[in-house]
Amino acid sequence: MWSTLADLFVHGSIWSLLAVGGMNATLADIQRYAVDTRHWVTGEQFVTFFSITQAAPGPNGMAVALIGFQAAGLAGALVSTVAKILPSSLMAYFVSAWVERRQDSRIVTAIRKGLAPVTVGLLVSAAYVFARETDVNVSRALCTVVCAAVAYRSKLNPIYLVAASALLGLAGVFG
Amino acid sequence: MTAHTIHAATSLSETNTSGAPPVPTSFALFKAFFFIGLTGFGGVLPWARRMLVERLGWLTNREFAELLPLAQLLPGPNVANIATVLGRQYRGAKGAAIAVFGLYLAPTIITIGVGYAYARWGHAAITEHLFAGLMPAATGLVIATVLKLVTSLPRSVASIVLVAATFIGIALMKIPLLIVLAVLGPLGTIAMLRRARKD
Repeated sequence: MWSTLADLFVHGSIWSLLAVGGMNATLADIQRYAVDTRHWVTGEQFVTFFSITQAAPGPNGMAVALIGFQAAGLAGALVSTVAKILPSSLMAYFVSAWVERRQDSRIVTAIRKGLAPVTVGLLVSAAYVFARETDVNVSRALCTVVCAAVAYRSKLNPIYLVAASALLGLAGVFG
Repeated sequence: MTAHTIHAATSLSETNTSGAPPVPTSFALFKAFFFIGLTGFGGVLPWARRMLVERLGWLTNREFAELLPLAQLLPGPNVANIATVLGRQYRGAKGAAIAVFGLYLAPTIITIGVGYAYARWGHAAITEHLFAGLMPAATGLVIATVLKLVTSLPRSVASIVLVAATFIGIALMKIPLLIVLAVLGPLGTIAMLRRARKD
C-alpha cells in the first residue's frame, strides 16, 4: 500500500514536471507506466478515464486521480492529485519570475522553439495510443475522424462534440 | 495604499500605471479560480480568459495574451500556471497557493466522486455504452490538437526529425519520457540556437 502510494507520488511528480506544453504530452508515458508496467488499469480503462475527465470540468490531466483511485483507493486518488499539481506549481512559482525577465533572450527562445516539435511528437504519440485503444470498429473510427475534423476546422466548443458522441454511445451505435 | 505598492512592484502594473485597479484580495483570487475550475468544460483557457479579462477586468486582453507563452513554456496545465503566476503577482506565495487550491478544489471533489461512481456502476451496460461514446470524442480532440500544432511548426528538417524521434522513442520503443526529454530537449535547444546564430 505505502509503496504503491510512493510510486504514485514519484511518477505523478515526474509527469507533472515533464508536461511540456500541457498534460496531454505525458499521456503516452502514463499509459506505458500505469498500464504496461504496473497494471494499475487496463488500456481501455486508461482511455475511458481520460475521456471522462475530459467531459468533466477542470484542467487537463485529472485522469491521473482516477488511475490513483484504481491503484490505491481514495488515498491513491489524493496522492496522485497532489503529485500532479504541486511540483509543476512550485516550478512555475520559482521559475516564472526568472523566465518573465528573459522571455526574449536567446536561450529561452531556443528552449521554447526546440521543445515545440518534441511536444508535437508527444501529442502524436498520445493520439496513436488512444486511437489504437478506441478505434476497434468502423463506427468508432468514423466518429473519431468526424470529431477530429470538426474540432480542427470549427470553433465549436468541444463539449458539444463530447455530448453528441456520448449520446451516440448511449444509443448503442458503438457496440 | 500598501495594496498599490505591492501592485506597483509587479511587472503587470507596468502597462496600467494610471488608475491601476486595487489588487484582488486572497478571497477574490480563491473565488475567481474556484469558478474557473468549476466551469472549464471542454478546455479551461477560454473560461479563464472570460473570467479574468471580461468579468473581473484584472487583465487586459493583451496582458492575458502575454501570459500565455510563459504558461505554455512552464510544465503543467496552462491554466494552473496562470493561477500560480497571477497569485504570486497579486499576493505572493499565499496568493499562488490559494489560486491553485481554488482552481483544483471542485475538479478534485468531482473526480473522486467519479472514482466512486465508476467502482459502483462502471461495468453496468449503460455506462459501458456511455464510455464507448466518450472515447471517440476524446481521441478525436487529441488528434485535432495535433493537427493544429503541426501546422504551427516551422517547416524545417530539425523540426521533422524531432517530431519523428519523439514519436518513435515514446510510442513505438516505449522509452520512458524522462529519458526521451533529457536527450531530445537539449538537442532541440542546440538545433534552434545554431539556427538563430545563422540567421
